[in-house]
Amino acid sequence: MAPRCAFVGIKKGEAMEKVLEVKNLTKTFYKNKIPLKAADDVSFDVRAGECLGLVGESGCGKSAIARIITHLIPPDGGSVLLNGRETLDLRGKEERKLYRDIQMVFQTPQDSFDPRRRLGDGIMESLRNQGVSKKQARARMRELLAMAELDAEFADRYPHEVSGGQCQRAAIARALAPGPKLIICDEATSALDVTVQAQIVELLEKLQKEQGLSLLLICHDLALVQKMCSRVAVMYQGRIVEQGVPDEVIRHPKEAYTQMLVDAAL
Amino acid sequence: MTLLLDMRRIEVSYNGRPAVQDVSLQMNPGEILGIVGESGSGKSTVIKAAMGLLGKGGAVTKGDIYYKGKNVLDASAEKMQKMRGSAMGMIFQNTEASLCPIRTVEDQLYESVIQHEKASRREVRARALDLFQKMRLTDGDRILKSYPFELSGGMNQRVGILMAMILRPALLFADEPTSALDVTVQAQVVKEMLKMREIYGTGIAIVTHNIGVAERMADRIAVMRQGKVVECGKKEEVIRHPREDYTKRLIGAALRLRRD
Repeated sequence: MAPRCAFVGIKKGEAMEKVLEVKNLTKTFYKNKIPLKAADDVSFDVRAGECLGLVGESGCGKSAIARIITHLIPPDGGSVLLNGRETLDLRGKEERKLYRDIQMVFQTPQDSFDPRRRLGDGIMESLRNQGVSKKQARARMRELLAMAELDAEFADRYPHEVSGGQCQRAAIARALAPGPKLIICDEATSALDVTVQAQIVELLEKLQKEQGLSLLLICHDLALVQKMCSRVAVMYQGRIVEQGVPDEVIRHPKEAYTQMLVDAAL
Repeated sequence: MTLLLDMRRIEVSYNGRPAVQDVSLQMNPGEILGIVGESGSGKSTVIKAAMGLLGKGGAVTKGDIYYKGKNVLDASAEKMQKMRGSAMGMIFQNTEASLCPIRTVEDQLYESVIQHEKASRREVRARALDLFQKMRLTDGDRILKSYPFELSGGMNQRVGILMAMILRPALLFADEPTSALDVTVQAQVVKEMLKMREIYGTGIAIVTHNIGVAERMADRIAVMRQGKVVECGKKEEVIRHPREDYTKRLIGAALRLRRD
């Protein structure tokens, strides 16, 4: 089945390599036997080095998509391809490799770290699990902190000892540690103050440029998508209702829901 | 004209350490004042001080707060309790958390009304439905019968507005009332609060970190940083011609949707 919306606005000669390809994904949750479609034939892709925005209101299914991609929950049907390879049937060693290839940054950074372990330990964990020696992991962790523009001393702090913005930087360093092909940011800036949000956005943009990172940015803020993303997919009640270049979509929304999102922006 | 709210050089301390210093804010009746700033800037503390809700360890250590010319800080505990709700109402960021989870909205609404005036269940119900209608909510009946956890975040915020407005306070404090909401719902809640001012002439002090919300709602804006007001003035002046560097930074950091 062809995807519901055609992609528009791709300039000729632009890199077309697809890092992530989501095809016809479906997922239904049941609450008191009442079905709720979190993903209804969802298809989209993220290309190498690009930032794709996935927007929609709470409960529209955007986080469910992230959880399916990262193998936290299984879908009912469809496929998720990473660099052209099906990932949904990966098990064991192969699946663990997938966990390295796709990393996440969450909404509340403090909650995403173990409160009883230092930030540095959290950042090193994936490296240590891969069998990197303690010494090497430490050196790499310091590099990662520097990449996220944090002083080395933050390695010894606990999550509750740092501010939200600093903790989110540490979370980004942690996401970078295993050298992922794709980072999914699930509302990564929405709990932060505007000035801090601006700094985190700047950091993500810098990393994207320098490291050639591919990003899937899940949020409900169209202005943020307009700033960061080369393409946007608008989700409503489990379906992708519109896809395109942010400026285009914002100026000429085709769907009523997209229009509503644009009108609601303050 | 008597000022609706007049804070004169107040200092608020928690456990002896000042959290807010030398803050003066004035509001005319029916005016909307936006108080913006980052987390920890003291913006919520200011309205808690006016409501007498600083809690243990918190106190106004300098200055005075006048509500319609009367000093709030001199009021007895009973007097304050009378004023809270009927004279000064408040909406919280998460109304659901401020409600009792095992009682219906209607029960809690009724209880809060009879603290302040004599009213029958039927009267309270009629007034609530009337208010819901003014907010253009058609299923008021269902909302009243619901428990807080059965309602969405947006609906719970509407219940918060309803609970605050049913006693028709002249002054409404709103502490981040839309911050936990989706953008589309946020726009509706903002509209409904403006409607309340239109109908009842309520003065609203809205605390928010979202400059967009303040810009949409407020007549005047006060910018707070590290417990002090760094800039205060007419909305247009503060947003278009900010004087202070911090205000400029704050406004510059806020993302705006470009529609053209």
